[in-house]
Amino acid sequence: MNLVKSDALKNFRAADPILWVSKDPLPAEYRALALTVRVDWAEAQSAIQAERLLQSGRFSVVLISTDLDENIALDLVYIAKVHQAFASRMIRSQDLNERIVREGINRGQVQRIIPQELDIKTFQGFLNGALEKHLQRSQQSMLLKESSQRNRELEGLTNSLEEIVEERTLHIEISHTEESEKLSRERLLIRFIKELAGQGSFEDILQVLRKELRKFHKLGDPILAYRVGGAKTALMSFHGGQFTQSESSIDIEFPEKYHPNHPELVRHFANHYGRPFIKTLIFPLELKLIRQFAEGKAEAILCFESSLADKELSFFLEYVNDRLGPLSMALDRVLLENQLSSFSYRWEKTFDSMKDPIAIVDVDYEVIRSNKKFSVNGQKKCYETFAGSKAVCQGCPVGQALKEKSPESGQIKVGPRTYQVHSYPIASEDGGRSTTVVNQYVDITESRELYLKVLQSEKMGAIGKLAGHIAHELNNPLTGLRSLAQVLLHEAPKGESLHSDLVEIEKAAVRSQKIIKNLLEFSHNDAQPQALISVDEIVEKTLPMLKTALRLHRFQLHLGARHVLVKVEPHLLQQVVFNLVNNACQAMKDPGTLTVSSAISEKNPKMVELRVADTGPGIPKDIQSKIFEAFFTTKKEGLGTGLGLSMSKSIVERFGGVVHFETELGRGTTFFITLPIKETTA
Amino acid sequence: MKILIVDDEPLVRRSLGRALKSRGHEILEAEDGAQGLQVWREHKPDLIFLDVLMPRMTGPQVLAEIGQQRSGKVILISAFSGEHNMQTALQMGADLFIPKPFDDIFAIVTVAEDLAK
Repeated sequence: MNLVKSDALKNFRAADPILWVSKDPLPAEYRALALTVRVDWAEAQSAIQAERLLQSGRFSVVLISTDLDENIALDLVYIAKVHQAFASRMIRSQDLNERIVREGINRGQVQRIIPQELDIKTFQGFLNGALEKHLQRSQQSMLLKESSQRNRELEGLTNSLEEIVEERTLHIEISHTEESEKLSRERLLIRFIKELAGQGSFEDILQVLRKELRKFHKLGDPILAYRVGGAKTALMSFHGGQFTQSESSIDIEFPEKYHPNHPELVRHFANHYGRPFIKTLIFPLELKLIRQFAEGKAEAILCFESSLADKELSFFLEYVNDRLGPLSMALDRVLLENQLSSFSYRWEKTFDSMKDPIAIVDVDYEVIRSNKKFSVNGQKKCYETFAGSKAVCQGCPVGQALKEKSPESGQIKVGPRTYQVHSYPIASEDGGRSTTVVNQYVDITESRELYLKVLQSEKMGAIGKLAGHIAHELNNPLTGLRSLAQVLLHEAPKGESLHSDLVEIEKAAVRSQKIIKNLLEFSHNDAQPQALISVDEIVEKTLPMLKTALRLHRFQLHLGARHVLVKVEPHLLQQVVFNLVNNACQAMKDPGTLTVSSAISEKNPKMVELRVADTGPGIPKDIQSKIFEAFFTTKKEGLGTGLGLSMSKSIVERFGGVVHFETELGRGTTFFITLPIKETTA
Repeated sequence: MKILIVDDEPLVRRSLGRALKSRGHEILEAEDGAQGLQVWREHKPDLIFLDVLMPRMTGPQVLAEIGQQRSGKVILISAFSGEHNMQTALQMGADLFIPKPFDDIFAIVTVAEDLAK
């Protein structure tokens, strides 16, 4: 643009035409004048023509003659001044009066007033001057224009600069707002995450979410659908503000990305909830943890019924997208927790349904966990709560198991029951020393009793065999002894002490043989046929074997039931008598009196009663209930099996009888055996 | 009569021997089965008291061994009454079975004398 302007300036030597206004036509000599500037001539011979030209054209010099009329000429000068500001104005007058000069200069600001008759040379000079003046003015104006243009541009620039600054400022202000918005958004999000972190159930999480989305009025309550490990789909939502939870066999694949309307799912929801669903937005949730846990089979979606307008919707999407991550994590966590607790619940049930008591016990014998069978009464130590004892149970394998880091077992006694305790050390995670064991308590009371009974019968069998051998071995010399005594008796003269000595020897031999015979019968293990026999005979057959036991005590025998018979295996009832008498003798630590008596029962004449009474210390109350239990013994180790009374009881009961006792501390004990009478002899 | 007593129990040999001697019989003794077999073959007694359970050879073994060479009557005596009785004793070739213990030694002697008569 500047270039064009300077070109215009350069070529300015071609100026606008000169306007000649006069009654007279432009003299030819004037038109032919060679001027310093290339210029054309224009003529106006009337005031109207002149005025029109002045208003429409552009002229470098305007020459107005007063020959039209003095006033008209002055008006035209004025018009020229208004319309042709750059033109040099000149008045040509016949007679210069004071008014023309004054008005022409003041009103028309004419450059020169020239006489009508003027030599051509002077006129040429005047014209050139006028043109020069015009050019100056034009140039000035051009420059002025130029500079004002520049000024305008500068002004524009300044203005736009200001705009930019303003714009920038505005931008800064906007981004500031944005920042603070973003910040508050983050803050809200953090609050949401924090709030989620504190929730332990789906309900709580959905409630938090519901609260978070309350500002979206045109939005339904959230529906959460998830399925884990190929199980049924769980659906959770709210109904009338109440949390609801249901199951569905829906097997529609969940969308993997946000879905603004999933017709299949929506139809399913409508069916499931029994109401129409409007547009439903579906957001998938990513369940990373539980998915690992459930071998990749875990998915969840969050759904909202929405009638949000598009503008709101985009804000909502953004808002929800921000929250999907934390929400997924929270759900993931709860699912995992549920899964774990359901596992632990299942384990608990498993252990509770076992018939054996089971407990996890630590190195200090404190019970950490236990199943229902393992009674816990508030005490922490296993031996306190389980065995009711003040110290570690005898035979407890826990210490050994922890020491050896291998399963150990041992037997403990808890009251009347015997437990086989299996202690399994729980391996510590770092492979170091384990500090806890799982104890399984197997009640082996019955099987132990059975085992001991088997053991006992084997023992008895062995004793039987042994007795047989002993009897044989003794029979031989006894036979010889007795026979020899008989021979010698034959030879010895009667009446001499030698004879009576030999009689005693033979008697002793006979007694020995009898004992051996009884021993053989007593130890006989095979089931023997039941026989009708009197209790008195049984007692008599048994007593010879009790001589040793009885030797310290006074012995009284009152047999009064020889005429009534009971039906028993004689050797078994012998065992009972033997046991009772033997026990009674052993119970009397100081020499006392043992009384064995038999009679028809006073209470029931169909029964015969055998009493074995001692004058011992009596049976203490706390063990009275136990004395018939197998393996209960007050005797020193190796002296009693704890089987005598229990076997006696079972033998008597086998024959339809009853055993009971009466005891008084410091006075003694009497055992009563009552047996049904089968036959009475005369 | 020549009577052989085969028993490992000296008291039995002694008492039985004395009772028989007192009746005027000649007594031979052996303390086990093998010795008894030898004496039996050598002296050919009229009556043999043979115990069942003995070291080296049992009474039934001695009986089987002597077979056709045997002479005299045989009384099997046993303290182990469970194993043998009159029937088994007769099957083995004995003439009589007497269980121990003896209630009366002289009754035994009488029975034996009657048997070998």
